[in-house]
This record gives sequence, structure tokens and C-alpha cells, in this order.
Amino acid sequence: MKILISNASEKPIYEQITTQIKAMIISGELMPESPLPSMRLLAKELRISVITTKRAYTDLERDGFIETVPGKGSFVARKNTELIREQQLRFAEEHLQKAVDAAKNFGISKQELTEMLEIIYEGE
Amino acid sequence: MKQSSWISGLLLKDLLNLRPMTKTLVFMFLIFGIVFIPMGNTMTVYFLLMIFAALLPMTSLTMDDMAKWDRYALTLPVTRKDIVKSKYLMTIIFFCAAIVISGIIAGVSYYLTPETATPFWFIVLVGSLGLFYGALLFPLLYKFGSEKARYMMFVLMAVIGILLVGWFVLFGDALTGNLLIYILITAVGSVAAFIASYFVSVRFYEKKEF
Amino acid sequence: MSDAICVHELCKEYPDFSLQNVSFCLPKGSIMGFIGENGAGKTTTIKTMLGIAKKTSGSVKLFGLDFADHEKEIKNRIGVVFDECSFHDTLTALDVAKILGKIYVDWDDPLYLKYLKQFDLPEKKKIKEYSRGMKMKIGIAAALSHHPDLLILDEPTSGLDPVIREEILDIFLEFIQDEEHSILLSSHITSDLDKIADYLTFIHEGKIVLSKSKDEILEDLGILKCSLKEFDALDKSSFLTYRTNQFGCEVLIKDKMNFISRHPDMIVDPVSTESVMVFYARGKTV
Repeated sequence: MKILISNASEKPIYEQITTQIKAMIISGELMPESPLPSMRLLAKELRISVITTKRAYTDLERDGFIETVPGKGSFVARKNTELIREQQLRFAEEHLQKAVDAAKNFGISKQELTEMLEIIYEGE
Repeated sequence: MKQSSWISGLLLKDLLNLRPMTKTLVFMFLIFGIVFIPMGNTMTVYFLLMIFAALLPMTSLTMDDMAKWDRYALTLPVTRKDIVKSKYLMTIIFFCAAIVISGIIAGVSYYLTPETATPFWFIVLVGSLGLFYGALLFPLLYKFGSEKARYMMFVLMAVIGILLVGWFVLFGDALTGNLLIYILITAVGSVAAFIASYFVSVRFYEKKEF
Repeated sequence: MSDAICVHELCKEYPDFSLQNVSFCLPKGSIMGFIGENGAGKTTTIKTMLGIAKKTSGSVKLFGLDFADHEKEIKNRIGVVFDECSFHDTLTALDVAKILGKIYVDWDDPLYLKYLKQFDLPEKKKIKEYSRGMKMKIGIAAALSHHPDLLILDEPTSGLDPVIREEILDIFLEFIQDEEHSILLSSHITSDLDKIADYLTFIHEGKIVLSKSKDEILEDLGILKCSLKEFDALDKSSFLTYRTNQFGCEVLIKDKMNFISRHPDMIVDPVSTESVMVFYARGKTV
């Protein structure tokens, strides 16, 4: 499991952690019900305060991505298809938005763009 | 969970610290002993033993001061009283050892040179005065610290020397029977002073800050 | 009982210095950095907390127990390390084990030997031949080897090179993996505390000026840069301390987000543990 934090980033560290863990859950890299490292272990390995990791995990739990069982640790939430689906759609939407912005910038028409999409989708 | 035996821990610390010094003193003692005992001059040897016995505990206190040991010791599960107790106990141990060794020497020298052998009661007298010295010095060391008390140490030794001479002036000519009684009184007095000194030292140490 | 340490209104008078109403609490399972410039009162606080210096007034509770009433019990559960090695330098590491083994109820010899190995400390060499880093490490090994619940360390990394400092910090992080364990760590090496502290308590001239979680401090405080004219004109309710130079003012402010939203065009820089300490040590109060 890979988590990298940047001290220079504007984003607070707990947010960097929640973003990266959410991404792994959405992409399926972290399977539902799989265990997460303990808050303390994460704090130790990343050399940050345990309060920060606690906050990250609290936020993840609040948003429904993980569950914390006292005495046992934290686990990826059981498959919540709706929630994950929502995140996945949003992810794709963001990238499509980028493509549309680029197209408009360079004067590529909607038709040309749609054709491009079909070719790429079919090609995989 | 074993019982914590603080006293043996603190004593062990002092004994381990005094190891190098003890070796030096034993060496000196052997040299003096080899020279003086066959001559029948056991007085010097007894004096030496008593001085060593008094010197060792004092040195351990000075070593503690220099290593800033007390500051750390007070974070250990020992009370301030324990710390003082261990020093006094150590002094008693060294004095007993000195007396026993003196006794052995007395026996040996009596065998070698019966005429000039110094009588045993002399050992008790010197021991008492040595103990008295300790009784006076410890509270001073605790109250004023080992730096300042260093001078007092030598002053006190001189005082004890004078006391010894004075003792002889007063009682030296007494009949053997009375002499023994005077010695007994001196010994008991020294022990009493030593015990009183313990309580005074505890009081000083309880108030001390590091 | 959720606080490893709770100090309340601790006062201590010296002829030329005094601790005034020092209060802070260390929640169990966390590391608190105790920060202040040299002479601010860090060592005095620690010594007074532990009865090494006599307090004038105030209360000290460790593990929820009143210190005065439960001294021996508490001391069996704490490990203290001072900045200078407290063992006589004629002793060896094994001597230390023999001595402490008789004093601590829960002394663990195999554990101590394991630490000696981990820290690369020779068992039979006299301490007087140790380097400064080694002297610090043996103090830590001794403090850890009786299974304490609380470590109290006074400047444990000063004078050490960054590599050893990190080794030692790793040891502390390992210690804190058990959430019954806590650490109070006084230091003026703020970069170390930036790395591992959960809570920060700042002391200046014998008074606690700030005691909060590090995250809260870093989020809430900011450094405002402005001109002297602007300084005079601004509402100073969120100003803590300030410093001036020939070209302007620097102000340590709290409630940073609020200030930024009201003055979006002014420069407000993030703080670091070091800047907070320096601003309190050298800044003027508003």
C-alpha cells in the first residue's frame, strides 16, 4: 500500500491521506473488508502525529469508506456500490471535463471529440 | 513481581563506583602493612584503616555530586531517606571491615612482636573517633555540598587528631579498669552520635533541591 | 484516567527565576513536545514535577495519581532521561543493569541487553569512554528497560548529529505504538518535534504560553506580514506577539482563517514549531 505525503503541499496532511486512501478504495486496489494499517503504525511510518492519522481515519469513516472496530482496527467498508459508483463517475467526469476544455481550446469540434472517444473506447 | 531491594541497589552502585579507589587503598595498605607490622608499629596501620574507612563513603558522596546522580536517583523508586540510609549503612560496613582487619592485624602482631604490640582497646578508640568523624562530616556534606565540605573534611580530621591527643591527656594515665570504661563510653558515645547524625542528615537531604 | 500527566498551577520560586502557574495535561498515548528557549523553564518544570526541586504550590498528577501520595508507585512506572548522562563514568553498561535491576520492580534484563545491542552499546566498556550519543542512548535504554508507561526526557537530542537524532526519534515512535505509553519530551530542537509530537506546550520565562495539539497550532496560527502603518490600523484582537524590522512588521496571529477571509490581500504565512517558539521568545506582546 502506497501513501506519500508532501510537507510542501497546500493541502493539509490528513487530507492528503484521505484522498489517497479513497482513490485506492475506488480503484479497487483496496478491497472491501481488507484491513488498513493501524493509526499508530501509519503515524510512525510516515513520521507524523497520531492525531493527524486519527483525523484522516475519522474523516474516512464519516464518509463511509472505512469502518473502525474497537480492539480490532480499521477495515475498508463492505462494498458500498452506490458510494463507490458515485466516486467513480465523478472521477470519469473530471477527466472528460479536461478533454472538453482542451477540445474547446484547440478548436476541436464536438463531433471530432465524440469520434475520438469511440475509437479509444473500442480500441481497449 | 519481585520486591524491589532499593538498599542493595544503591549500595551496589557505591561499591561499584568505589572499586578503582578501593584497589588503590588496598595496595597502599599492603605496602604500609608490610613495612610497619613486622616493626610492631601497628598504630599507624590502624590509623590508616580508619582513615580509609572514613574516606570511602565520603568519596562516594562526592562522586554522586559530580555525576549529578542525585537528580536522577530521585526519579527512581527510592525515597530520599533510602538514599541517606544506604550511605550510612555503607559506612558501618566499611568500619566493621576495618575493625575486623585491625583485629586480625592485632592478633598477627601480638604473635610476632608481643612487647610492642598495640593493645586492642586502642583499635576501639580509633574506630570510635573515626565513626564520630563520619557522624560530623555527613550532615555537613549534605548541607553544604561536597565542594565546600572538602575543606571541612581536613579541618575535621585535624579536630579528631586533637581529640585523640586530648583523650590521652585526660585518660591515658588511668588504671586499666577505668581505661576500659572510658573507652566503652567513648565508643557508645560515637555510636549515639552516628545515629543522631543519620537523622540530621535525613532532615537536610529531605530539603535539598537538585 | 486518560491523562498521563496533569500539572495544575505549578509554581516554583528561585531568587532570579520563577515558574508561574504552569498548567498542562498530556493525554495518554501521545507525545508532547515541551518547548522553550534556553532558560525558559523546561528543566525546572520537569524537576519540580518530579519532586527533585520543591514546588511552592500547585498539584501534579501522574496516571491520575497524586504525585505526593503515590511517589514510589509512580516512579516505578516512569523512565526519566536528563541531558547529561546520570551514571558515574566508571560504570559499565552491565553495572547499570545490576544496579537498576535491584531498584526497579519490573526491570527486564533481557530487554536491556536487547536495547544495548540495538543501540550498538558495548556491555563492558566504561561510560567515560562513551561518545555523547552513546551516553544518551544508554540513558534511554535504562529508562525503557523497566517497562515504563511514561517517558520524560529533558533535551534528549541536543548535541547529537541528525542521524543519531533520527534513530532516537524512531525509538520513541516505537515506544508509542502501545497506546498506554506516553512521552513528554523537552527540547529546543524544533525540527525533531515537528516530526513526532502530537501536542506542543510552549513555555517562556516560566509561563506556559500555548498548549495544544500540533495540528491545531499549525492550522490556527499564522504569521502576518504588514507595514508599520497597517499594523497600527488593524484590529489586534487576534494578535499574539509581534516583531518589527526596518521594513515592516511580523505578527504571530491566531484564528488565521478568519483573518485571511477578512483581509484576503494581506500576507499570512504558515507557522512552524520553530517560528512559534521564536515569536514567543523574542516577540513583544501586543
